[in-house]
Amino acid sequence: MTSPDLELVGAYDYRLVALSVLIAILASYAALDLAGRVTSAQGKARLLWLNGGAVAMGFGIWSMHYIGMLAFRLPIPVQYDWPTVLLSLVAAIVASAIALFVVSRSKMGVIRAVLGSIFMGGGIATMHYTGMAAMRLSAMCSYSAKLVALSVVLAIVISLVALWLTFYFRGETAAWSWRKMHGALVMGAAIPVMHYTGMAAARFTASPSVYGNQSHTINVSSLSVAGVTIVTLTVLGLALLTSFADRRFSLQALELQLKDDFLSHVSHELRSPLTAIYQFVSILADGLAGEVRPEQSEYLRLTLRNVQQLESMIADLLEVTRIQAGKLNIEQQRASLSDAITDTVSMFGGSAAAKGINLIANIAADLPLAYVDPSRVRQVLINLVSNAIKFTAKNGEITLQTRIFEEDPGLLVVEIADTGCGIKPEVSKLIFERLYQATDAGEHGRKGLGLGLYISKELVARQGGSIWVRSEPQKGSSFFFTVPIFSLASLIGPILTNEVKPDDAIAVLVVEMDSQDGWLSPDVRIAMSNVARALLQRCLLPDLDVVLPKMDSGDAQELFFAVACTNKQGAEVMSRRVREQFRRSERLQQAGLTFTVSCDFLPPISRNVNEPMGEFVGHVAAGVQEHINAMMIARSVPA
Amino acid sequence: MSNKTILIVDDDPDARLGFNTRLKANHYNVIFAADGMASIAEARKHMPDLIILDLGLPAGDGFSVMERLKANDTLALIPVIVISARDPSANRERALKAGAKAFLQKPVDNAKFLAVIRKVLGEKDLTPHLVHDLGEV
Repeated sequence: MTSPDLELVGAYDYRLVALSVLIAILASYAALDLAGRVTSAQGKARLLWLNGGAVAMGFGIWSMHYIGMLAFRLPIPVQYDWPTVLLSLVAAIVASAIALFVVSRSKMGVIRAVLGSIFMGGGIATMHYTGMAAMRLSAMCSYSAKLVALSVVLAIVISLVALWLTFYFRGETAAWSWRKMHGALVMGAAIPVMHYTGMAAARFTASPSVYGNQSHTINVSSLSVAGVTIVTLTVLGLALLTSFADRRFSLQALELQLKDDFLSHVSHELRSPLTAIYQFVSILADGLAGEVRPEQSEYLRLTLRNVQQLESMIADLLEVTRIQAGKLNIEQQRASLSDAITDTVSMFGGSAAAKGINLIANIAADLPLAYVDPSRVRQVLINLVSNAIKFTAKNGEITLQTRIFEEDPGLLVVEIADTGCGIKPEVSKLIFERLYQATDAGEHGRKGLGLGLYISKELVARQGGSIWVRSEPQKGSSFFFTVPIFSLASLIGPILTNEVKPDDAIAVLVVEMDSQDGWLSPDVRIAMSNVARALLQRCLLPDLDVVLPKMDSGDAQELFFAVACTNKQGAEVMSRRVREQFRRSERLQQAGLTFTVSCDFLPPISRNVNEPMGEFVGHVAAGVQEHINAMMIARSVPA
Repeated sequence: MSNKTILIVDDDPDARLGFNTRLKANHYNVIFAADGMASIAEARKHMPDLIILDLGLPAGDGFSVMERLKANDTLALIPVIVISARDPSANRERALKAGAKAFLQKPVDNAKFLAVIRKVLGEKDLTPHLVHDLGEV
């Protein structure tokens, strides 16, 4: 049955058309800006920018489309099927994601550009026609095939132009530029062209009934237009703001990187000519280019000494740059301080003797190992000893000592005492600051860069210690620095506490270091458990997780144990975890230790409720000391 | 008395001359290359006992030279000592991983320089003092 077609003629609300174009331009500007962010970001940040950018841009394109739809007024009421409307939003976001992905690659060849624009244009067209399909009205909608084809081709061509523009402008580092604005204008004007061509392709013919499912329809009021506009502007505005903030942040990072690169470049370029000077002066001094008179030889040695000074200043400069960039490389491991001290003393023996200074190392026997970066400790020692030699007069004395720090048994302290000119009390703190220079710089009268003590302070601090000086003018100075004692307990303490669950019993883990299958006899192990139990019975609150690790690191074969409130099953899980963690711990791997973990299970214990907290803590301390002695005995008579 | 041949690869002519004088005075035969490409050609032609390699080079930097040496069964046998003015914190590990026997920072002390060469050539062991300073060579 046919009836004469009654074509419905729509009219445009030009204010809304203008609004839709404005949103398109804004969305384009955001796209250009975000593409730059996606390009410069890496890893997770890149994914985040890509997704966020796609949502913001997709939202912009979508909202441009619907405002354009609303600008088109038909003489009959029009409603929209909201699930379809949402579906079209997805199409817009996916199209935007593809576009951002394509333009943020390091290269965009012809094939990639064409494929990208086919996907992006296809996505926009999909969004458009899905959006049209969301219309619910008493009319039939038919399309002019030619115009539809034209709109799709336009979408793809416009996408190609947009991709090209975006790729071209993405490197623009400023948040705002006229070039970027021009790009946004072209892109922003082009998107509505596709939209309104698509609209022109549609013919609406009046029909008595409404086509399509009407269960999810909504009416679009001017209030919702305002709503969509505000939300769109907010999303795009937020995207641009975040991009602006992020850009500032990464610019700062870039500046820091440039400064860093610049200094390492400078130090490289300074070292090259210095190398040539050193090479040829030493060739002359060694007589490789002919006989040298004694006076000439002396001048050449003098030149060489100055070359060395320059070289160490360059090294200091580079080190300070690293400290400031947070790139100081420190690899702590189990190491002997005594070795480092002996090495330093033998290294400076010659120059101290030449100046008539007595350089002595005074090392206590049986010191525990330290947890340090040995080369960094040597660096600090070299710095302090060379300073001491510089400021100590003939017939003076420099003594190096190390011992367990009286104020903290977890630390070793190194003391470098000289009988030199001393430091005034008011400057004794300042000397560790960067660029502080001694006013009286010894016999050479050279000030140097004043970086040595600052570098030493940073190196010591990064290894968990501190540095200070005690000095009496004209009598001498003592420099002290501390470093942590190597303690397996402090390495695995955090691992254990995370694994322990409070329960009604005590588990004792015995870890025997440097041993594949345990070197303690079962008897000793049980005896040790009993010591621990006696200790715990006196001083533990049964309702608390307790980790009481103890170890002695004076020898190759080491021992430590951890005590925790847990049940039998928990104890087994715990010792398995400890084993696994030990195997995985990089720091322990570096230390090259083997180990055995065994676990003993003890029945419940309780603290005397009347015991005051102060005494309780005192007992813990006393018990720990007692236990160290017990272990020492156990070790000296291995069964 | 040594008559071993050492290939010096350095783009700085002053550095080449300096090394040459020092090494000749210690009875080594010295040959040169000023860039990455030439170094491979010279190594093939003369099969030196040791290569002393700078890192910053035209036509393939020190790292790519080591890669190319490694790729060839015969050239891979020639020991390499890297000597560079670059920051050791960023390059020492990388150079040793790439197969260098030692990394020396320019300017390098002559005594240390010769001691490392002798050690790498198997002529003489390092003093304990240098062992500590240079690590495993």
